[in-house]
Amino acid sequence: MSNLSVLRVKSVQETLNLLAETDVTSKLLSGGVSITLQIRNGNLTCDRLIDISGVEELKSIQPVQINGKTFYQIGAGLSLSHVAKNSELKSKFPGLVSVIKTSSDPARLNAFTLGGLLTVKRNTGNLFPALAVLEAVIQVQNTDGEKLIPIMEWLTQVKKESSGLITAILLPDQSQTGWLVKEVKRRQMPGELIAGVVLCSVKDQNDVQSDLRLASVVDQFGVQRWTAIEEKINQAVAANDSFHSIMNDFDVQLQLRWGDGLDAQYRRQVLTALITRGLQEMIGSGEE
Amino acid sequence: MSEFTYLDKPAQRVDGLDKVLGTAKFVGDIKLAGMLYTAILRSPLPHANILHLDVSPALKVPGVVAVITAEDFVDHGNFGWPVKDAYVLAWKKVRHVGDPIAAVAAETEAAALEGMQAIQFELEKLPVVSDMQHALDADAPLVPLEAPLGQGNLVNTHLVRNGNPDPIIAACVNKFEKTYHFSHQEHAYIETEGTLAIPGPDGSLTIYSNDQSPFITRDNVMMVLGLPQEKVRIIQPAVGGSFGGKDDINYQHTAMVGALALKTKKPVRILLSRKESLIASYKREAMDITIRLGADENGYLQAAKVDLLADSGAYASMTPLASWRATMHAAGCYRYQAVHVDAKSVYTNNSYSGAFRGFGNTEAAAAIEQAIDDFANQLGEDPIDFRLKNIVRNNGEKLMTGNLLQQEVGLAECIEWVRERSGWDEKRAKYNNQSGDIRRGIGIACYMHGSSLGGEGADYATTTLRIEADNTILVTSGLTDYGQGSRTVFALVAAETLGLNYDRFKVGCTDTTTSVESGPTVASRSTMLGGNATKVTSQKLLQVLNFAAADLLNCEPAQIVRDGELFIGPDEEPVPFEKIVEHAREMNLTLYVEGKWEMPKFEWDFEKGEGTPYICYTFGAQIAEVETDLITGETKVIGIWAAHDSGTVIFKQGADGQMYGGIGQGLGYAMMEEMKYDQGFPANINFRQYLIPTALDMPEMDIKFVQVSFETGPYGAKNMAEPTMIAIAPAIANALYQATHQRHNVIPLTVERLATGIEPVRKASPSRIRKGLGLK
Amino acid sequence: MKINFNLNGSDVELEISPEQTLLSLLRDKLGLFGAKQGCDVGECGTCSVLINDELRKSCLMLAVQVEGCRVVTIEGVSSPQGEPNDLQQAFLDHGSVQCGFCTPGMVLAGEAILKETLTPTRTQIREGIAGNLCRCTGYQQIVDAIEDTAQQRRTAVEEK
Ligand SMILES: Cc1cc2nc3c(=O)[nH]c(=O)nc-3n(C[C@H](O)[C@H](O)[C@H](O)COP(=O)(O)OP(=O)(O)OC[C@H]3O[C@@H](n4cnc5c(N)ncnc54)[C@H](O)[C@@H]3O)c2cc1C
Ligand code: FES
Ligand code: FES
Repeated sequence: MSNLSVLRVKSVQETLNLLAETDVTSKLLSGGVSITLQIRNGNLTCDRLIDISGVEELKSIQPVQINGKTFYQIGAGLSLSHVAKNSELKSKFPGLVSVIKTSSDPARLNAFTLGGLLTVKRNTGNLFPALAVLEAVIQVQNTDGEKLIPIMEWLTQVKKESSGLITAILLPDQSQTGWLVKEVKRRQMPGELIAGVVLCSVKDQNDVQSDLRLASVVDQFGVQRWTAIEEKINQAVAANDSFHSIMNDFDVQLQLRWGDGLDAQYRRQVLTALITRGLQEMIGSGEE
Repeated sequence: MSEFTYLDKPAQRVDGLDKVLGTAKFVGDIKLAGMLYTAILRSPLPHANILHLDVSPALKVPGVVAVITAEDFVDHGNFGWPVKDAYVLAWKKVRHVGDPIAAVAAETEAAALEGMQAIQFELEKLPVVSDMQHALDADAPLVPLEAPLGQGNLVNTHLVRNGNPDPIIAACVNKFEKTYHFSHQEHAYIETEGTLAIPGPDGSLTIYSNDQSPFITRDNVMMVLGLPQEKVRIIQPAVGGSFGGKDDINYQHTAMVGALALKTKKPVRILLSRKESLIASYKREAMDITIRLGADENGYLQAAKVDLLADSGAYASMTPLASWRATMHAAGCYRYQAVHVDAKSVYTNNSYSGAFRGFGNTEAAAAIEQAIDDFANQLGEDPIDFRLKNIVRNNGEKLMTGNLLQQEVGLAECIEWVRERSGWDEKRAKYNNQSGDIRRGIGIACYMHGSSLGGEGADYATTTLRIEADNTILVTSGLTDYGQGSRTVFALVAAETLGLNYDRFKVGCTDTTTSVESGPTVASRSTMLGGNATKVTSQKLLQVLNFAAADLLNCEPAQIVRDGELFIGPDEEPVPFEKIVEHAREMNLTLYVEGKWEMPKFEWDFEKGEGTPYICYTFGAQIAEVETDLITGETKVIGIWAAHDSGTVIFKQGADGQMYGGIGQGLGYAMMEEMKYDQGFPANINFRQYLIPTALDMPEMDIKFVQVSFETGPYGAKNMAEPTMIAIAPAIANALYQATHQRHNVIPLTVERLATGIEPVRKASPSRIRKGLGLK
Repeated sequence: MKINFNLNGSDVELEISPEQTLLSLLRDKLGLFGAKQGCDVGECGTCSVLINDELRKSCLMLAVQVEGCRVVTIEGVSSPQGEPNDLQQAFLDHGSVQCGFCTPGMVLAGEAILKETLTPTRTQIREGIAGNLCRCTGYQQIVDAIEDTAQQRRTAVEEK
């Protein structure tokens, strides 16, 4: 029989204390989807599971002030479907909510939690590009204290299973600018997914100058925030430049990054199309 | 049409209640004391010699009870029909990824797996042939142990010789030629393959197998284990879908569990994981079909010439028959002066191909229906008008195979119905003038489908009826019900014929000991064959009842009239069914009857390519409307209209369900389902990589049965399970052509193809496949 | 280890292994075979159950996770006498069952939809069952059955 044990915890502090114990190895159990699979594949390497599903502190949704800025704090223990059903988030981040709904089927959305998702970092799902354009910040705690890690840094630099407890996701309040995920496009194909996201300001539709953000995800190629392209587009739009030249730039950048194999060609074409489509719907094709 | 009491009325499926309650028992739901679990060592390579195989280390693993290899079977477990080229467990060499090599039985699943992993074996890689176009090259590696026709990887050829099309086409003002490609398709039944053998004290075997043709399973088990018939009993439990896909692979599994059960004297079960099933099971054959057509200046078709190449994979399985059916339908439901068809099937190392709903006609119809559409466009004619001009319509007309139709044809009616319901004329005109990236299109396809086996084999079925002690009536048939509802059809036909309440009928599972052999349950033959057999049997039982009633009521049997379940004699006193049965028992009459029905004889000459391939045909037409994004290739089917000339509908919801379900599989085939092989390694080994339609992929469907009664069928019924999936892929392809003005000539039309025309590289992962097969 | 939860209306206390999935607990230990194992990796939905009224795939969770939860399997949907409930009856009436392998999961997915709303659109119903694969029916009659049951339950509520 197994030696694996399961401990149920009720608070963040209790969790941190258990995680700090060094004589036994622990892993957090949240929605359990990934843990279940790890057990089945025989790659769960720990002595015990700490079940955090009963920690109410990880399940709140509330505005918080950090350095004078307002953020929405979404508890990492919440399931994706709870996030998608929350009425406040629905009105504040409608795009996020629609992204979640399309990212998996109902039963899985009921299971997946934000904490698990952020840890597993599986690219499938258009949630990461949405979080990237929303400039989410990940709140992590361990016994040393709390850390705030911007999403892109989290995705590109933090190791898959870093020690510590993800307590929440912080989303900058968009209500001053009315940030809205305007378009999320995805293409589901056997075993892979390509998603492009465009974000714009609802308040200042005419002044898109600083109000455009793009991100994309393609399975093998990871999440990209296209900051350089954003700037270009914003300048071009301000100068009433042709839309197509911008998108060509985008294509060139993709080519530089991904090479010119058939696969990359295909993905480039689809991703460019997705982002073009999003932009066109937002600012017009610039050709009229 | 006469009014029926039970047929074509709402009726609950006989096995429905257990299924909604969750109490129906599938093989995986049967657990017996002492039952052993199995793990099968399967080839991780597409083609290799077995240099060394030592199973003894497995036997040292705690919990492992027995291990078998090819040496445990008569003649090394050689089986297969019509070509005997397969083995229960690989002998001498492996020919596709997933080919079984040895099977381990153990007390737990974990021990079985560990035992399997302990087996020592060495495979010597052989060159692989994965492209069917090169299978007959002089330097192609030979896949079978021996070339069955003495011509390398050639499995079979078929032909149609109806007149001589060459000079006719040469003389035609309008000519057409194109090649269409079709990929492998996975059955994707939601229940994986499962078999369970229980040994008897006398060395006999009772085997539960979720297959389609228990009698063939039985004969195979007898053959490879050297057992007499009375020692092998096959029972079909609830089966979670099959669609043609659970035969050959289960012939192997039943033989394995049988051998292991005899060896261990314990019940033994095989249940495949999804990955193992996707890797090891057989598929719909890939095909390349080249079509040449000629038409006169008025757009009337004159002649057709078709070449067909089918990828049979590592074994022949049913490909010789499926390619025969493809051959018999290759030029479609149109009038021609002359038609030639030439078909070849070849061995490759791409898994293996076998029966799948539509049985060759799925590809044949998809090819000719795209060709007809392309030709109509080339001639500037509306695809429906062009079809209506050229389809077969009347009794006595000549079909593409040269034989004359001997039935009424409801095809024109089907076409008119879908045209009207879909708003074809208006939409077609509107979608001819579109701009922007999001485009719509509407397309049509028709089909004919030969009923039953035709020239594929002897065609007969037997039904039995027994009045039980509680006055219910037990129906058995040798034809199985794996979800398509044939048991309900039999109960309804019996109720109708006997004039007894439908509730009285119970239909047993097919069991080779209690049912009577009726040939394979393939080719959508159960309604026609089993239905007729049930009708004949019911008539026999009715004679017995009327005889008893006449005796009780002091009259002649002919004087008995009926009012529902009441039997009424000349004195007009109604006597209930129960009383009649009671009296029959007093008279010592046997309340058990068997009845057999056999198809009228007809002949197809395989050598000459002439004759009558089928006694009758079903027809139909389907329209699909699509919306597609020219840039991303994202495509949604937004409407489907389908009409099927089915003859009389017997089981209404069942018929509807066959139609909807067939369309669902056809939509998957058209849009997303593609089993790709990368040098023989499968690239799709789970349901994330092999997508099948979800509820969101399916549009609302509008369907109709055009009930042109067919004399030979039971109460005028024909068959429907298979043909309903045939037209949807070409209809979608044709709709996409209208939307995009591009013909890709490949099915499925995946988003990649639609978006860019680039074939994305789908790499198989040999290491993931190894893991999927449980190998370290 | 021990867990306590409510299974189909009864409180139970069970000894389980921490590695065991809920699906394995139901099938291998409790002999509840209504939840099927069509893939074991979350892709088919045949193992669906309701946990605190939410649809979940029991192959994608550990048995320990249902501590303190209300778990409903297909065996808990019908009446204790084995009578089908209204949704199950609607599946029978609409011909929504063919091979039946997806059916228990579909019924539970249907229940989950109806627990959320009695006025689902057909698209909402399709979204609600999108994680449950059916290879036989093309889904149309399943959508019909759920839609019809919503209507009946709505009428029943309105009458009260
Ligand atoms: C079969 C399968 C299918 C999938 N399908 C999809 C899909 O369709 N769409 C999609 O977007 N994604 C999909 N994913 C990825 C999925 O999003 C993640 O696996 C999922 O979010 C995990 O969530 P969970 O709560 O169930 O994680 P768990 O299994 O509970 O945990 C996963 C990991 O995260 C750690 N963890 C959990 N919570 C915290 C926390 N608060 N702080 C720190 N560490 C934590 C755990 O220790 C564990 O290592 C799939 C994954 C699997 C295994
Ligand atoms: S068995 Fe759980 S989703 Fe397939
Ligand atoms: S009825 Fe067969 S899978 Fe749904």
